Amino acid sequence: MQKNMLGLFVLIYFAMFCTCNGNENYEESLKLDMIDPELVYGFFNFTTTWNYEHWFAPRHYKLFPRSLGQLIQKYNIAELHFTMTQGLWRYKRWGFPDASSPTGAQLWVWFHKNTEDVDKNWVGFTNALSGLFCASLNFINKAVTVTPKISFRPVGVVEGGETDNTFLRYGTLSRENLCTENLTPWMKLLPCGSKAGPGALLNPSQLHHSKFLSIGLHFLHDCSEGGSCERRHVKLEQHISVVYDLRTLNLMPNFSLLSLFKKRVKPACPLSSRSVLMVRVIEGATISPALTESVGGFSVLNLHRLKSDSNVQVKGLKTPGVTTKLNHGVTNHCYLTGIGLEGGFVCSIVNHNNREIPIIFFQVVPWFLHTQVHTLKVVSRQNDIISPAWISYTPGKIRESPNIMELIVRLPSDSITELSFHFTKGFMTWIEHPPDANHGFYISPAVITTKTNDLNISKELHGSVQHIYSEAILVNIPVPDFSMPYNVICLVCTVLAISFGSFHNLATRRFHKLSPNEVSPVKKKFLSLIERFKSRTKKNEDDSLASTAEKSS
Amino acid sequence: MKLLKKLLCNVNKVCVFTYLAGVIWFILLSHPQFHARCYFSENALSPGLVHSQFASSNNEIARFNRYFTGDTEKTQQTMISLLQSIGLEVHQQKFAFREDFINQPEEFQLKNGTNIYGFMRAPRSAGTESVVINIPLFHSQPNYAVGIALALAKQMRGEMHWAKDIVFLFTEHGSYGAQAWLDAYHGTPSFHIAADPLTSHAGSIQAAIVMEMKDKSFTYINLKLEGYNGQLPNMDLSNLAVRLFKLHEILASVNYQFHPYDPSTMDGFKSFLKTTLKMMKQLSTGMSSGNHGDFLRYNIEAITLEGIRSKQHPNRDLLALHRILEGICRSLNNLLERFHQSFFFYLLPSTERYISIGMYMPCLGLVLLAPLLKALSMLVRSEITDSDVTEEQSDDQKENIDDILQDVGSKYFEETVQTPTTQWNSVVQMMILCHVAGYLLFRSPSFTPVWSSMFSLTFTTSFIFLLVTVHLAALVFMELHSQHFFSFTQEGAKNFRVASLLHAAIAVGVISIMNFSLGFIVSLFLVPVVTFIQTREGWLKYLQKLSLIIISLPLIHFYTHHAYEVVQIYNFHLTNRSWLFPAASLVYFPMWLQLWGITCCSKHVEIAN
Repeated sequence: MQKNMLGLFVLIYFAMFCTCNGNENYEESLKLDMIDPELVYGFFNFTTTWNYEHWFAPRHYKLFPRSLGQLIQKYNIAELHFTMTQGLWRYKRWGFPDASSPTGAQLWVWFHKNTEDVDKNWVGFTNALSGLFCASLNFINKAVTVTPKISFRPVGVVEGGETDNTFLRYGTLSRENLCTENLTPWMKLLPCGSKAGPGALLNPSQLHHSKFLSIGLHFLHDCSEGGSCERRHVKLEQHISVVYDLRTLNLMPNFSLLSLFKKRVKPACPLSSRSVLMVRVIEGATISPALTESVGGFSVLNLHRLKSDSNVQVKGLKTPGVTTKLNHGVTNHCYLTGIGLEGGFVCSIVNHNNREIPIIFFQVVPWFLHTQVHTLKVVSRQNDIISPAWISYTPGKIRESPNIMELIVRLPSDSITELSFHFTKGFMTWIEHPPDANHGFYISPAVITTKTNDLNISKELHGSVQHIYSEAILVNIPVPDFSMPYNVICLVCTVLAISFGSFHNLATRRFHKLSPNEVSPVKKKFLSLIERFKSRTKKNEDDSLASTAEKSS
Repeated sequence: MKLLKKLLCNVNKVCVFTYLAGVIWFILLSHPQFHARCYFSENALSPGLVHSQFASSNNEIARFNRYFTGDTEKTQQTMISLLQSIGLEVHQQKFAFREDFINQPEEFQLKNGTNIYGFMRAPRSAGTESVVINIPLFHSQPNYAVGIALALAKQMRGEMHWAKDIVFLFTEHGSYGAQAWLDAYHGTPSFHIAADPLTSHAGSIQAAIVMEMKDKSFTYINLKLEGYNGQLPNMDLSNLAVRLFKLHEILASVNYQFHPYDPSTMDGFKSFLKTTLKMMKQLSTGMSSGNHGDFLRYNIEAITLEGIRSKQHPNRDLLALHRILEGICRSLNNLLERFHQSFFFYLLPSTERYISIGMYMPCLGLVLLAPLLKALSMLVRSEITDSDVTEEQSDDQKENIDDILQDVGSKYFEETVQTPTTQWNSVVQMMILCHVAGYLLFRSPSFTPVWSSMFSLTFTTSFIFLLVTVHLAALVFMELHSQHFFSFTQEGAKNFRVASLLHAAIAVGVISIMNFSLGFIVSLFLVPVVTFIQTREGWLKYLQKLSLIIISLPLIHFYTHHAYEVVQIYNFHLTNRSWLFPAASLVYFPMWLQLWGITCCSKHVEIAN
């Protein structure tokens, strides 16, 4: 019976495979790259494309994940970019990643132009997505959401060719950690899950033993082959970037897939049209078993040809010299200055190229930090003031919207440019404080947008634009003491105030003895008033008496 | 009213009583019955819950230390290459500073120094928070904590669980190096330090540990807590260190005083008292006992661990301290929030017990109650005597109430509005004069170069000479002023005294809010004098003057001469670290001068009468 059932499943399975093959396509790959003798960078890429006739409104899902497709349909989404990241990508030493992402969670969505209420859809979508990924994306509220003007353009094709940024929403949560509970639903979206191909290497406990871990989910409309863009398809890209530190893992200098992921790589997912493992090592290191194919410096292993689970080993150099990989591009390092209520925000942007590079600088500052735009300064280290080519500043509203700063700056060649502004720290009402308020509050990372052509890097993913994210910044704002000493201070102040009052009374009053007969002036006045009143009524009575007497008489 | 009258009749006795009660209360605080055992408020620290990794050995620490015996320039290069080979992100910062503002004129060349700092980037975080381990490098002798730090860095680099970046900071020239680094880190330049900007940062610094180890082994560890101007680190941090020392069976002390063997005995009490007083002495100087003071100024909780070696006792090797440091870092790593829970204001009678602010503040309140009560009684008594007079008058002329009322009213009017006798104007004038003298004393050091060239003295001598001169000049002026130019009436002298009493109580109170130890110590010797100085005649007058001379600034400095040089106090004031010089010249000196004025005006009161 069981055998029959299994046979039936296999039949249905292959039937599905054949039908979907027409307009859906799935590719998977893992790229392993040694950044330096100590660091190994792994980039998993899972791409599903789906040709469609007119409108992305499918009723039947095959490879494309249904749970996500329904959300995209319901909330009228044209393009979606979602990343969750643990750790910080260090551009200076590590170079550029295949997919940049900031620390914490980042979500930006372009809605279709026929969307009636973008904000409503955005709120609905963030809540739905937070349910899908078990992440606190529902905390992307109106005080966090912004609409960047030029930094985040659509990556794919846009209907009508024009973009109107009122249909864009962008939000980050820097405090959000990437956990296994986010990773599991993410892996469930893959056609083969973590059962086959590179996906089999996704071992959550080992992924978290890394210096940097980022998951990404990107949905966009793209042109099919052919320049005219007559036929379009939707594209769902899912990637994981992970950076392993061999020194921390005690794997210096040799490592293997097994030692990094504690799993072996399995044969390709049968649903995939392409499934490869690509490895690039530093000079002097060797790969075993030797991989014959090579593409662009990477040795390639085709997983479709793989018969059984296998391992790939890399033998490194026994005595690696101290190598610091220098980034020939643009790097950004932001930090906080000042103490107490006054603070400053400084970003030092380095241009390693020997030519001028235009960049877009984008920074969101939470509403409780009141930025002072007049203090905005862009100065190169040679103390030349650079005037930004374009500035857009949207002042924040308390408890409603953050301060948004977007500028275009031309970085001089081989220069260090410091961009700085001041802010004062504001107060929150006591119920607005999150739990662990003394941990501090995050300023989301500054985003620098450049053209990839300017940076001399080739990118397969996400077109011609490179986002460079700086570190998220922890800032302590004044927090009331929610504990016992606070009550003590209140109590002591009350006691002091009471005692001060009585002492003040004693010190400022003049005492003089009253004779027993003497009455106080107020009382005297009061008495005299009563007296007068009495006398008047008496007089009236007398008059009336007199009149009645007259009458009677 | 009855109570008030009783109080007024016995105000002197009450004053003596409150003063003594305050002092006795303070002494009793050192009794185990009156202070409490230290406890953790921040449960996240959970010290000693994790096992230390034992990844280093004594040999390794010794091997690292062997590199750092030569000259500075070379050791710094070794340091950088060592830190890099360990796998840290290493940077250096050059700075130049001026430390002596008296002996070095403006054009004097600045001293140079280099700070080296390495970031151990935490694998578990994105560089938002960090902990600093500061090793001050001495020029005269090696700091053996370098070896511990490097061994620790090597161990940490291979571990996964770090959630806060650890910054290994090697500073030169004592606190100047630390200040240069912190200034650059926070972008708040000091005028006496020219420091290069830092090339990298590590988020908000949560805590700092300073390590001083002058020998290859140690007998016990001394905890230094006192920062500038009475600042103290959060008690959870010092408590954390003490707990870990206890766990690893290492002796720990505060101000070189140990926890007594039997706290309930008299010896135990004495030991508690001595430790408390030693701590207060250090706090009252307004100076920091180590590099941690500079961190505290930036709201970073910090302590200094100083290894002390004694020849009579068995010694521990550096590995023990390595484990402690690792334990402290592990606990700090657990910390989710900044230190905010435990006490920031406390006194330590021993490493394991504390006196909270709620316990020690009332004794200062009691001591300061004496001048306040005295002032109050003088004010109120004058009112009552006034009313007594009117009462007598009214007794005489009982016949017509209206007449009496009118009479009293006019008298009242005369006294309050015209009041030629109260002389409040002159009192204010006198106080302003005293404060001007204080300001002159405060500004006088800037004339040091002029004086040194006029009298061909060294800068230091002329500086002290100048201070003493201003002091004496103000004194002589006060004497002359009250004898020849101006005289108080009895009422005026009384009001002047009331004003001085209130001024003293408020000023000392305010100082104690910023720096309790300074406030309390000042109040201890100021309050008896200020409360009982009157306009007197005869030998009492000279006794008063003698008592005033005893508590004058130069003599106070003479008693505490071994603590800090006056030049040093002045320098620390200019570098904005210690407020002792301004407090002495702008607050204490005018107060003292007023008292001197009170003793001076006595003769003329008689004449006026």
